[in-house]
Amino acid sequence: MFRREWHQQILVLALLGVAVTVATVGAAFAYNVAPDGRGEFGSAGHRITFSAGSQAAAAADIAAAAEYFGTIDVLLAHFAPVAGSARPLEVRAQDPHGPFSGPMLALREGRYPSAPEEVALTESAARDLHVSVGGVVDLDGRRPTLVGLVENPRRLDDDFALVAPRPPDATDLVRILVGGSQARVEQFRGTMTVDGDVRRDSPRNDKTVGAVATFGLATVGMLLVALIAAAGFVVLAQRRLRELGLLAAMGATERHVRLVTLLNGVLVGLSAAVIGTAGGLAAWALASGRVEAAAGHRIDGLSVPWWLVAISVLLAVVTATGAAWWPARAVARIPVMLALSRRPPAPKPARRPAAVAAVLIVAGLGCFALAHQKNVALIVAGTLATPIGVLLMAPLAVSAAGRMASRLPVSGRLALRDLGRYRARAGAALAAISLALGVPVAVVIVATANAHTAAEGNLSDRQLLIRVGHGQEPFAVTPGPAAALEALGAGVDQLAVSLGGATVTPLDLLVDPARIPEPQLAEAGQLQAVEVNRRRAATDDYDGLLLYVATPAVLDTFHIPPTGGGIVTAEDGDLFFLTKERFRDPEPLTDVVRIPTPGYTSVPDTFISPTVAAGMGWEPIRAGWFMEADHALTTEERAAAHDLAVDAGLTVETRDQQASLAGLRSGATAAGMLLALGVLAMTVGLIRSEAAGDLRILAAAGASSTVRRNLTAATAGSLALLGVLLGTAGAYLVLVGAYAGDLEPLTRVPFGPLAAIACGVPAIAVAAGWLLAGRQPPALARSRFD
Amino acid sequence: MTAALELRAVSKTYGEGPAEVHALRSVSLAVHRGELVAIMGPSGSGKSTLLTIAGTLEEATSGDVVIGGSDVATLSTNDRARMRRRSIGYVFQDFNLLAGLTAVENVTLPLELDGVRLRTARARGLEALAAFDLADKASRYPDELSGGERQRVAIARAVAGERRLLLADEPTGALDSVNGEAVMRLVRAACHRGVAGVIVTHDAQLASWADRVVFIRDGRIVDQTVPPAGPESLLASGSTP
Repeated sequence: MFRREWHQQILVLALLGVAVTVATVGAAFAYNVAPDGRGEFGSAGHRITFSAGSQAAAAADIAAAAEYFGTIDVLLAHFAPVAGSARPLEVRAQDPHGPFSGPMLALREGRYPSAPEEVALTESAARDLHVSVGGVVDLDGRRPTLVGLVENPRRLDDDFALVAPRPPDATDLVRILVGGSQARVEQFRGTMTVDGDVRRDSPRNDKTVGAVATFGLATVGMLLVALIAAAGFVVLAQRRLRELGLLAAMGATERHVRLVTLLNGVLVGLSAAVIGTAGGLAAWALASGRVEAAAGHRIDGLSVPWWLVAISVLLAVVTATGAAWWPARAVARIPVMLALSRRPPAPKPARRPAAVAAVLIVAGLGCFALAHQKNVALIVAGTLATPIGVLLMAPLAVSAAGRMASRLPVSGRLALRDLGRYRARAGAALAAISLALGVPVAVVIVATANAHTAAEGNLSDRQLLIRVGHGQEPFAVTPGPAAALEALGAGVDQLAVSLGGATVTPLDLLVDPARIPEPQLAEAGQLQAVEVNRRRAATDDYDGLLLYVATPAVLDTFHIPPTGGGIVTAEDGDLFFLTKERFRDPEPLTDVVRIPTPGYTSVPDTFISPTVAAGMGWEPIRAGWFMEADHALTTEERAAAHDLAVDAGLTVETRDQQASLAGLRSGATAAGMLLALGVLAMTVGLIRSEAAGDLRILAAAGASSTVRRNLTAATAGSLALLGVLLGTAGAYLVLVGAYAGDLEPLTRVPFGPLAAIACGVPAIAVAAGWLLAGRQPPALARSRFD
Repeated sequence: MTAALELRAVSKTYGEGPAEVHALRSVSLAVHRGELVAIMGPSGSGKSTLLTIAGTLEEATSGDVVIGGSDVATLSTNDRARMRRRSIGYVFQDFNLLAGLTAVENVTLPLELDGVRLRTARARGLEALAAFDLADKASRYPDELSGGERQRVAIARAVAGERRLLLADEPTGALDSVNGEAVMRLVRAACHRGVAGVIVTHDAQLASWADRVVFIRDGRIVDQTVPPAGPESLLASGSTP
C-alpha cells in the first residue's frame, strides 16, 4: 500500500517531515536562543555587585576577595550621559583576558584599549556617538581615542564603552566574578566593609527549559499533523477498500487487515522522521548564523540537543502510527461484502464523540476551577482536556453544517452535505484547521490581555517620550524664552512628520516659584519640577511621581475621563505633597481619582488639574512631548529620531526592549492564518480528490466549470469558517479556564487580529478554492467508462 | 428529418507513439427522435468511448458530432455544458447519483444548474419521480434506496425536462433481471415520448428492447440490425401492383 499509494501519502509524509524539521530546528533554536547567563557572569559561578562609595573601602574589599577566592575578575562600571539619549552609556573597565569574563567580551575590529586615554565601543554605541575606529570619542567630559570595536558575544544588546582596567573610584559600580560554592561566597559577603547594598547573584541556565518548551509546541504541531494524517489514512483506506476486502475474503483476520494500514502508518512515520531530521539539521546549519540577532548572542551551529531530536523522531513514528490506527480499525471491521463492493458503510451519528467532547470540556473547565491558578497538574490537565474536547466537536460541527444546507444553492448544499457524510475525514480535517487557528488565536488573546501590563517595558514600540534639554534627570525642567520653545516645538513637529505623521501631545510639568532650586540644578539653569509623593505600603518609604498638567490634549491622548478630581493617577498607595514642614506628619491627599494603568512605566500616569495647580501657586512649564506613531518604529526610525533630538536640543526616550507584544500578535495572526490555509488546502485537496465520481456526475448533468469552482470554494470556505468558529471558541474556553480567577484581562478583545482571522481565512479559502478548481481533470470522463 | 444524434466518421485516439490506442475508427451513426439504439460489443471495443463522445464529455480526434442539428465542435465548453443540462440525459451503470443530495435533488440537479428556481425545480423533480413511482422516496438519500430505485431515479433525472437524447452505459448492469427489465421499460417509454436513446449493453436480451442494435469491434462498427420497416413502407408496398 505504501508503494502503490505513495502519491496519496505524499501529503502526510510531507506534513510529518515538515513537523519533524520544524521540531528539530525549533528545539535547536530554543536551546541556543535561551540565555545561559554567560553574558552576565562569564564562566564564573557567582557575581558580587556593590557601589564603590568609598574608593579605599572598595579597593580593600577587592583585595580581600582576591585573597579569599584566589582567582577573581573585577569589572568596574561608570555610567556616562549621552547627548540626545535618555539612557546613559556604561563605561566598563575590564581585563580582556580576565579569568572569568572571557565569554563576555570579543573584539570585532581594532584592538582592546590598554592606556587610560583609549576606549573601545560596541558597534551600537559607536553609531550613536558618530565615531569610527581611530576617531576621538566625546565621553563623560573626556576625549579618549577609539581603538577598537567590541561586543559581548553572549549579550549582543549589551552596549558599553570598554576601557583598560584601573582602580575603582567613588562613582563606580563594582562587579566581582568569583567561583566556589554559594555558601562560601555568602560567607565572604558577610565580611565585606563597603557601605550599602552588596548583592550576590548566580547564573540561571534556561537552555533546557526553552528546548523542552519548544518540544511541547512541537508536540502540539504533531497533534495537528496527526489529525490531518488521520484524514489522509481514512481516504487511503477507502481507496483500498476492495483490496482489503479481498484480503479478508481469502481468510485474513481482522488483525491482519488492520496491520496493513497500521504498518503503512509506521513506514510513513519512519520515512518522514528520517527526511525531516535530515532537513532540520541542514536547515539549522544554514540558519544558525542568521538567528544570532534574534537570540541576542552568538550561536554555535553544531550545538543541537540530540536527545530532543531523537524524541521528535520517535514522536513522528508514533504520530503516524496513531493516525493510522483508527482508520485501520474501522476498515478492518467493515463486512467483507461491503468492502468488496467498495461501498463504505453509512456514516454513524456523531452523538458519541460529541458526548465525549462535552465530558472532556466540562472536565477541563472543572480542572481549571479546582486548580485555583496554582495546581500545575490540574492546569495541565485542563489545558489538554478542554481543547481536545473542542476538537472532538468537529464531527458534530460538520454534521450540523450538512443538515443546515438544504436552502443553499446546489454547490454549497453538496459541499456541506459531503462534509457531513464523510465526517471521519472532514472531522479530522476540521479539527486540524481548528487547532491550527486556535493556537494563534489564543496567543493573540493572551498578548492582548497582557498588553497593558507594566512588565511590557517603558514605552510601546510606537511611542516616543521627548524631553526638553539633554539631561537624564526627569524631575529637572529647563525654562526658556518662548522663541526657543517654539523652535523646539518645530523640531518635534519635524520629527513627527519624519515618522509618518505621528500624533504629538505637549506635556507640561509644574514649578513652584517660591522654591529655592537645588545648587546643581541652578548651575545648569534648571528648575525642580513639582512632584507628588507616594508612600509604598510594603516598605513605608516614599517615592516621587512626576505631576503633569491635565490639559485637554493630555486628557484626550491618555483617555482620561473628566473626573472633577484634583489629582488623577494610575499609581497605587497614598499620595502626599511632602514639604520640610510636614515631612514628619504627612497627611494623605484626599482629592485623588484613580484611573487604569497606562501599562508602560514611562508613560505619564499622574496628573493635576490646571485649576488646582494654579490655586497652589505653581506655574506650568513645557517639559516635553509625548509622540505616538501609527506603526512600530523601526531601528532606523529610532536612530533618526535620536539624531533629530540631538540637533534640536531634546532628549528622546524610546522603547528599551526589542520584543513587542504587538509584533507577537501580528506574527501569531499571520502564522496562524498561513498554517490554517496550508492545512485547509491539503485537506480540501484530499476531500475533493476523492469526489471525482461526483464531478463525473456533475459534468454529465451539465455542470460548468463555475459549478466545480463553487463546489471547491464552498468546501474550503465552510471548513475555514467552521475552523475559525471552533478554534476561537476553543481558545476562549481554555483561556476562560486559565484566567478563572480574574476574567478582566479577557475583556480586552483583539478585534483586529480576530477579524483578520475570522474574515481573512474563509475569504482567502473561498477565493483560492474558486480560482484553483476550474480545470476539469482530463481523464475524468474516461475513468468510469473504459 | 434531422437526427437527434449524428456521428460522422468519428475517430478517437488515446496516447502517442507506441502507446497509441485507436478507440474509435471512423464511426458513423445516426439516431433519430423516438429511436432506441443498442450498442453491443466485447470489452475494449470502444462502446463507452462512443457514448462519452456522443455525450460531449470527450472530444473526437476527428470527425463530426452533431446533436439536435448543432455541431459540437463549434460549441464552447460552457455551451456544451448547457447542452448536457438541457438536451442530454446520462445513465451510468452505477455511481449515478450524488450521495450528498436527496432523490428529488438528484433529479432536479440539471434544472438547478440551469438556474431554475429551487421551488420550481423541486416541483418538476417531484413530478418526474411520481412518473417513475418514486414520489414517496423523494427525500431519501441514495444510500437509503435500493439498487433498482437508484437506477430509476437516475433515469428520471436523465429524461426530466425537455431532454432529447438519453445515453445509458450498462444501465442494468448492477441490477437483477426484474429491476433490469423495469429500467428498460422506462427507457423504452421515454423513447416513445420522442427521446432518442443510445444504450451500451452486453446483454442481448436487453438489446432486444432496442429498435436497432449496432455491433462494434476494435473501434469500428462491424454490423447492425436493420431498423424495422415503418408504416410508410406498407404504404409504399401498397402502391405497387
